[in-house]
Formats: sequence, C-alpha cells, structure tokens
Amino acid sequence: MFEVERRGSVVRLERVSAVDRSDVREPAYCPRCGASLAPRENLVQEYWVAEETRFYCWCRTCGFAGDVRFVERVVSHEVAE
Amino acid sequence: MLTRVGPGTPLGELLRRYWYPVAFTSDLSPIPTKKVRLLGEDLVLYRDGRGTYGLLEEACPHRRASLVYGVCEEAGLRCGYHGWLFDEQGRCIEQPGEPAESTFKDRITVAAYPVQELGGLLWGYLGPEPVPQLPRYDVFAWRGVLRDAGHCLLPINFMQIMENAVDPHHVEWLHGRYFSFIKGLAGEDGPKTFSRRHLKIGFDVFEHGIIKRRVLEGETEDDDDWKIGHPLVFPYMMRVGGGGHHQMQIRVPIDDEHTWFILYSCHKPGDLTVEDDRPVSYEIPWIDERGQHIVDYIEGQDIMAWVTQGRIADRTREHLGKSDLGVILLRKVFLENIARIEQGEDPLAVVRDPHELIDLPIERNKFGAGDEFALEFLAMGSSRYSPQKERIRSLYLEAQAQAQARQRAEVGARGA
Repeated sequence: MFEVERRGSVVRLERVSAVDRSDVREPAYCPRCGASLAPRENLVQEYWVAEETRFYCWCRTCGFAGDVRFVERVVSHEVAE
Repeated sequence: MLTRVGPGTPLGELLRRYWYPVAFTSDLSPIPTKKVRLLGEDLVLYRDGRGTYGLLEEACPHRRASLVYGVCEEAGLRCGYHGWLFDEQGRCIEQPGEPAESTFKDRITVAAYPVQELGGLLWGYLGPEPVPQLPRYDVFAWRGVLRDAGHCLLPINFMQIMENAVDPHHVEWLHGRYFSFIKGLAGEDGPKTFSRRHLKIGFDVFEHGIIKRRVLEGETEDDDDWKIGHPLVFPYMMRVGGGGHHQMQIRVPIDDEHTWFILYSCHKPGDLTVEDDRPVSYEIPWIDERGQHIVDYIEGQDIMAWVTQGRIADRTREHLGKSDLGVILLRKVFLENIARIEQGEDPLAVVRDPHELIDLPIERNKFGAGDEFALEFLAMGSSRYSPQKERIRSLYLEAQAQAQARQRAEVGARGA
C-alpha cells in the first residue's frame, strides 16, 4: 500500500506492480545544466531495479548522462558506539 | 524519434550517412534491373552494357512509370514506356519522342545515388556529399572463404532488431531454455552452448559501434566472451561468430515497417581456404503454412521475438530492467549521433580514410565452446536452409580432422 495526495485528500492505493507509474514523475530538467529534458531529442529512459525506479538521462544540451533515482527513504549505516 | 527512417526525419538523416547493401550482385542476372526500397525511398538498381551500376529514383519523371521495367542500354537505363534514357548520374540523355533540337532533356534529372560492389553485395549511399568510404569490414573483404547468405524481408522496424543486438541475456533464454523446451516437445536434445547463465554483461562504445561483453557461468573476465566480446556495428549490423564461422547480421531499414534481414556468413575453419568466395544467397522461411512462427532454429526464434513485438514496438508499454542497459545505451548512442550530424559532424562509424580491411573484434572461443560452437550453430541455425549446407559441414569436419591429425603428430613427436 502507498499513499498519494489527490485533490487535497490522501488516497490509499494498493500497489499492483513494482512498475506502477502513478507515483512517479520523470525528471524534467538536466541535473547538471538545468536545460529542459522535455524535447524528444533528449533521452529520459525509465527502468527498474527491484523496488526502485530509475531514469537514465542524456542531456543533449550539455552531454550529461547518468541515472536519476527517486528516493523514498534515506538509509545509512549506524555509527558504531 | 528513433523509428522513423524516411527523408527529413532526424533518424532518417542520420541513417543516410551510411552505405547499405541493396542487392546481391547475383540478383542482377539474368534481368539486369531490380526494384529496391531503402530508407523509405523507391529506387531502381541496374547494370548497363558497360557494367556500370546505377541506383535511380524508380519513377520515370516523364509519366511516372517504373524504371524497373526499363531497358539496360550500353550506357544507361531507358524507360520502357517512351524511351527516355538516363545515366548513372541521373541525367536524362535522350528523349526520343521530342524534337531533335529540343533542350528539354537538359532540364530533366532523376535522383541518383552511388553504387559500389563488395563481398558479392551491391551497396548504395543515399546521403549528402562528400560520400564516405564504403567500410571494408573483414567478412566482406576477405578472400578465399566460403560465403553463404540467408535472408528474408521482415514486417518490422529495424530498431527492434538492433535493440536485440545489445541484449545478451536473451541468448540463454530464447536460444537456451525456450529452444530446449521446443526441442523437448519433439523428443530431441536442446543446444548445449546457448544455455549458460549470464553472470555479467558490459558494453563499450568504440569507433565502429558498441562492443558487447558477457561473463557466463564458469567463465571469468579472462575469457574471450568478456575480454574480446563482439560488436554491434553502428548503425545497422552486428558481427558474431566463433569456431571458424564468421557472420555479419545485417538489418537494412527498408522503411518504417520493413527490414531486410541478412545473415552474411563466412566459413573459414582452421587454415582452410576455398576458391569460390561469392556468397550463395537463399531465403530463410520464418512462418509455416499455418501462419505460425518457425521456432525450431536460432534465427527463427529471434524473428519470432522481434515480429511479435509489432511492426513498430510500443516502447511506452515496455518495462526495462537492469539487464536492459544495453538497449538504453543504444538509444542514447542514436540520439547522440543525431545531434552530431545536426552540428555538422560525422557520426559514429562513418569512415573517411581509404583502407584495405577493417578487422572487427570477435571472440575466438565463443561461449567457451571452441570449435563446437560453429558445428552447433550450423545444426541449430538458419544454415539448415542453405543449398550448400553439406559443403559447409564438410569444410568444418575436414578442418577438425586436420587439427586432430596435427595434435596426434605433435604428441607423437613429443613421445619420440
């Protein structure tokens, strides 16, 4: 289950597959130069690794190529006491 | 963006920077004209009485009749309808029905493209000048090898075939597990060399395309499958082979929804050479009399996977995973090179320097199977439709016998 806000109220949805796109938005701008990635001459390619949605992006303006990953929870190591 | 190949489209303009096979040389006998469709353009290929090849726009500019039904004169191609004559530059050099003093013909041209012959194929170039070199990739330029070329016209866009070329994982499933399943239904054994599990795949862009690498179960990065790999030759070919069988898989974009698929093979096991090196060409069937895909051979399985995706695969409904990174890389490389030509640069793998031969990297010990790879590929692949399949098989058996005799002699010499 996951939650999304829709028209001001929170709706609980059941995730039907790991690739449900309803909670995912494509990166709109290049993380390096800020150019719009919307023109089709750029590449914003969605793919999945386990539960994670990634977007491989190539920016025609500056040549940046790399993954943009949406992070729901940041998990780090515990500092040893 | 990455499926439209016609003139004026971004991909079509990129693809026009390369030479394409348009026919086998043998296709122009006994009739010296052939209809050709390439990158969405209808053309006529011909050889005139001097032996000059021409590749012209198909429709005669007079009344639009097809020049495929023309007359090959000593110099040029004459329209069968009213006799207008064109040379290989596309110039109209005769208009028999017009007054003798008329200069009308001087104002008439048809689109004309350069043609070259290499490896028993006729190649055409539809792009802008300066015309690049026709790349003399190893399999096309070698002498003294046994050549064999199965081919078919497929009702699909070429890009889904190219994406298959950077998808190593499909081998263990489509040609391994699925093939074994099909063979099992017939009470036969499946292939041995195609079933091994992929542990790792990798891709490197190089000057002629993308090198594809894999580590199979039981292998390390020191094995040929990783250390050497084999290339996707940008933008429409893939070089494969092993154990003396060398193949270029060619995917000629005919138009948005059709691809001419050619399996151009050279057989040179061991040190053996042959005299006749013109390719024997033949059609490979991929649909049976019930309209079902023929899936009991390797390329028939590939064709099933490509064709069942639809004429132009709907990428908005696909779900790519980490094992599809090669597909993603290929899409990026196409977009990068569309940008390069729009910036006035030559795209990847356009060759400008004159050369004798381009040696492409290729595994010697494919799938760690040694010489067995070639024999299994012969038995399980499209070569079964070749009119010279027995000759090819004999060549490999002869090479094996020679190698075994050499081994025995070496052992004998050591024993003495």
